[in-house]
Amino acid sequence: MPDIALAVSITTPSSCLSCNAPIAYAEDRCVSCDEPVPCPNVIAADKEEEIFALNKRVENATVSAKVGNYQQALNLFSEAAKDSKAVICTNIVNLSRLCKTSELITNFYNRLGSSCVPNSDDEWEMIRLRVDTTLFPYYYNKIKFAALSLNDHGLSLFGDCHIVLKTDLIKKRATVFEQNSCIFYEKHDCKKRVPFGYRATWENRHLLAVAKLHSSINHTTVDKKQFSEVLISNGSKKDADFIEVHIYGNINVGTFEKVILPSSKRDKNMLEIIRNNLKDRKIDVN
Amino acid sequence: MQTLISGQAGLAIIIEGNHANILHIDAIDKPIPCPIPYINSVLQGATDVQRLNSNDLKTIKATLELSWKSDRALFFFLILLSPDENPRNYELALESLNELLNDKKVCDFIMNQMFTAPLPDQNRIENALSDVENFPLLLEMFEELMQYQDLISEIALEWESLPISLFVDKNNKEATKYQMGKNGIQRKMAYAIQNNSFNDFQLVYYTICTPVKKNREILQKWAYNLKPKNEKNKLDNVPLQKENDFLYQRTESGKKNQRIHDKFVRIKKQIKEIRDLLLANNIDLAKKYVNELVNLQETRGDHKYAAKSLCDIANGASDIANYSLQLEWTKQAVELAPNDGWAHGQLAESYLKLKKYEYAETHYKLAVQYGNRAYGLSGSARILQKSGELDKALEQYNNIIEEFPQDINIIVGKAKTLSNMHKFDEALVVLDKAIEGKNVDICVTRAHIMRYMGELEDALRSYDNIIKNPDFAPALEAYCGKAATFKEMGRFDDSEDAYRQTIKKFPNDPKAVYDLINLLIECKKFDKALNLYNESKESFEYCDQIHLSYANILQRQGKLDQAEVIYKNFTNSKNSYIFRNSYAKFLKSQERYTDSLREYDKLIKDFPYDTSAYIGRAKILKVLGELDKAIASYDFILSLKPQDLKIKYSKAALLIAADRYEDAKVLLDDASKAVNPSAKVKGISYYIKGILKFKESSSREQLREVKAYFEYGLKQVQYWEIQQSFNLALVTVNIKLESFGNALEQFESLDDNYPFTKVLAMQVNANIPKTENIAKAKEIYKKLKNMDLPEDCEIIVLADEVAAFYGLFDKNSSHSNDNWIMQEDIKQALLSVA
Repeated sequence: MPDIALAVSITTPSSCLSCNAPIAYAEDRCVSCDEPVPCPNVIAADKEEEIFALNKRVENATVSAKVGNYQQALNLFSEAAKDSKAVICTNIVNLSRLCKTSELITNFYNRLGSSCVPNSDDEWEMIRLRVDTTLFPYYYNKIKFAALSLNDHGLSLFGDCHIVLKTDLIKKRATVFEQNSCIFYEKHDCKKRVPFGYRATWENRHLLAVAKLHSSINHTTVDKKQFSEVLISNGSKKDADFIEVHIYGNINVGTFEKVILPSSKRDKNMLEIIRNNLKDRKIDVN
Repeated sequence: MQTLISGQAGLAIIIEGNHANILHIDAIDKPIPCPIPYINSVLQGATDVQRLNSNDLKTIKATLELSWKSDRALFFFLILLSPDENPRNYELALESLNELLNDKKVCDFIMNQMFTAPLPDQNRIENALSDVENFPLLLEMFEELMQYQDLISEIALEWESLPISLFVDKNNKEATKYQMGKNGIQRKMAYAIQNNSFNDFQLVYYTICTPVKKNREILQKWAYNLKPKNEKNKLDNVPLQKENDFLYQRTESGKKNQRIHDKFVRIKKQIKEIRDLLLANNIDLAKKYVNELVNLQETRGDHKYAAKSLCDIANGASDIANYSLQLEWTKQAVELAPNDGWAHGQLAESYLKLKKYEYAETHYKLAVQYGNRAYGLSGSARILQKSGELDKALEQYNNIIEEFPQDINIIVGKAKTLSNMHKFDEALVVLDKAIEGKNVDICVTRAHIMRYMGELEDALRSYDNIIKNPDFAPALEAYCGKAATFKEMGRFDDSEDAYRQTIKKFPNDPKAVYDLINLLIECKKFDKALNLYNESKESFEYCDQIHLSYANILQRQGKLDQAEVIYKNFTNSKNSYIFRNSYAKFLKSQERYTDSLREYDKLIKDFPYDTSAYIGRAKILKVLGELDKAIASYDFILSLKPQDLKIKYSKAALLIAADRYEDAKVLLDDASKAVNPSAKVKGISYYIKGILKFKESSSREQLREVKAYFEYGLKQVQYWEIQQSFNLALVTVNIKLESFGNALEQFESLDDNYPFTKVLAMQVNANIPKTENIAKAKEIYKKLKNMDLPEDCEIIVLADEVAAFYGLFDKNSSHSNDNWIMQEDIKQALLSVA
């Protein structure tokens, strides 16, 4: 049985393809000629050290699969993961905000948040800041988060509305990461060092899935439903585990491929309003 | 404890210590646990988060309900004003508003928000007015909004022109604007201007906006062009507000004559009662009493003492391994006394226990800043030690020990660091230098070091002296140390007595209990072990090791299915590393190698820096013949623990087995430079040298020397695992010497689940020309073939060759003599120690 093909670089250039100027760190446009350049998260995931370390993990996974007699299942999982998509889970209000950007809403609704002063002593605020500045130095405000999914569903712990993003609109600016970046930061004590081998470009996302999740596969894990449950496990619970997707740049309703809305008696009308807005924009919605 | 509430997200998050629970508005009685780092993602996009310092469910429910209604009502209200909506959306909005606006607070919320900024040019207020013709309340709201638009614009404009210097920064200006909006300030101002009642408005403004810094200046500048001209001077007559006049102290009346000493004694008693409740696992009642005690101390203005009480009680939580509760209480202590160095130090310790090193570091620094210098400085060193950076930890200790040469924590910390680096002699020198050599912690540390060095008699004497010393408070570590030393000396009865004494002396500590259970298991006294477990399981429900020992008992009694159930239950419910690691070992002991490998792989995924899982994985890969991968596992461990001698020797054994002699030599040379190897490491080093000798021996005389070498080593080594390797080597030598009777005797001391043991047993029995021995050899071969091992792994290949060579089955041997078998035997004997 052939081994899983290892990760290869997508050969992100180190200089601008238009004017040859070196690509400045954390920029998505050339500082000399303003032409687009690869996004900083993609450059970070495409580094030689990252690919080398990821491949080592994939090799370990293959060894375990061989001795554990589940190599075939692992190969199938790897193939399935190549079709995985990025799914954002959010609450109904956030979704309505993404769907609707009228000046009125922005003036009154979106800016309500200024009335809540963040408490920088809060652990969850502190950790977010630390994670952002460590993993995405200088460009963290450009990163949006999603989960890698095989069944159009994300982590309902984060919200009941599941938004599937159009792969074509994100594949050049999305990278995948081992798990929720805050949990990762604590687990790996990233203040000291961010270990290599835990992120990948969009093209290599199936390999990160193999490296991370091979121990959850066995010879009876063979269908898409099972693979979905491996890729996102316990999605509504505190021990939810998933592969985090980092998307550089803007996401708005134009990036939506499909939206799955919850059913809620309380928010019935609001959901219908959102559904109408999505349908008006020709987005697939349940 | 804190509760975050968001009407937008429709949930409340209750945070206690290291845990959080989400309560959805639709299922408020069904809390969903949520890791603290996920809170940001759960609240994503919610811009209305409020904080409550309460976990009263009624209050939370009411606040959430109002917040949700207000949010939705505003949303629908804005829909009515938004142009270009789907027509059906207006109907839906109206329908919802009809219900939501029954609550006056909701109406106020909407109007307060709408008065913070003018409507944009693109709005459909006129259409909205006709939509709501039949809804009097909504009609009134829209009409009012229209009527006040000009004033709203002016108020907003005047606000925008306020200088940033009146605020902390631009964000603070925005935040203040909307906080005021939430309290209806802009709306009240608009009414006041309209109705010429600005003076009344000012009073309201100052009452509500007291917490806002420079609130007086802000109002003066903001309202200067807005207020009616005849009201201009009246602002100056309003008395100055103190910046912090919302802080106040109340003293309890009627108790001013309380003697301080009586108060102290009573509080001490209450703290003890609370700690007893914790030990009895009555957490809810303990929390209730803590709240009462702290409230009492707070109302007396004794914030500092309340903080100290909390720290004291938090240690009680630590005693029952409830580190989340410890964190909760030490956080509260710091909130009460933010300038107390001791409180910060205790909070740092809580974070350290939870392995949140960055937060621990922050609070150790604050401990230094607020006067607890020695403790705070040594905290950073402790963090480095815990995270395995021993060189840096030592450097840190060296820096601070100059400033605090007699600080016990620092001395003991430095000695422990040196001990972990196997620099035992240096560690002892550090301890001896301490003038307060009579300190119990120093003496205990000294005794431990002697034990690690293998100086067991000296260690025993030291522990005894500590226990008998009337100047020392009873030290659990000394009692347990003594019992453990007896065990290491093979004096199991003495060890049992010592543990029982410890349990009697320290009835609330589980360590002696689970150590004794494990000892009884080793001595095969399963009934006694089970009795002890049954007596202790409720008192120490929180202690994973106690429950693990139960699984051990079942396993050793051969009740494997039951043992596996225990492992699985605890693994699923607690996600405990200890349990998961033990489960993986259990599977390995049952020869379920692929299952064991899977468990180790999962452990590595979840605990990527815990070396036991890598060691376990390496051992499985070794059994399955994947030597290079096993070596790679050890390489990773050495990258984390470059000074770990045991790992170095284990890797060297693998390298030799893989015929990588040069690499092995480099490693062995490096390892031999260690100044104070532990007794275990000495044993492994001795063994590897013996194997190398064995490889080079051919004559009977040389082989007898090798045998004597291993026999001597077996007597010196006290660790069961390493003794197994020595026994395997002795069996192999005896086979080579054709002393099959001696070889057979050796099997009594061997773990017959180990595959190589089976192969040797095959060989020994195959060489004894009796029917029953040949039958036994065949039986063992069958068992080997049925094991969960790949056909092409080294052990199975060896077993096949042995079977063929000795004619156990109808197969041709690949070799004309047993030299290949003997070489493989030596290789496997070497691998047994890796």
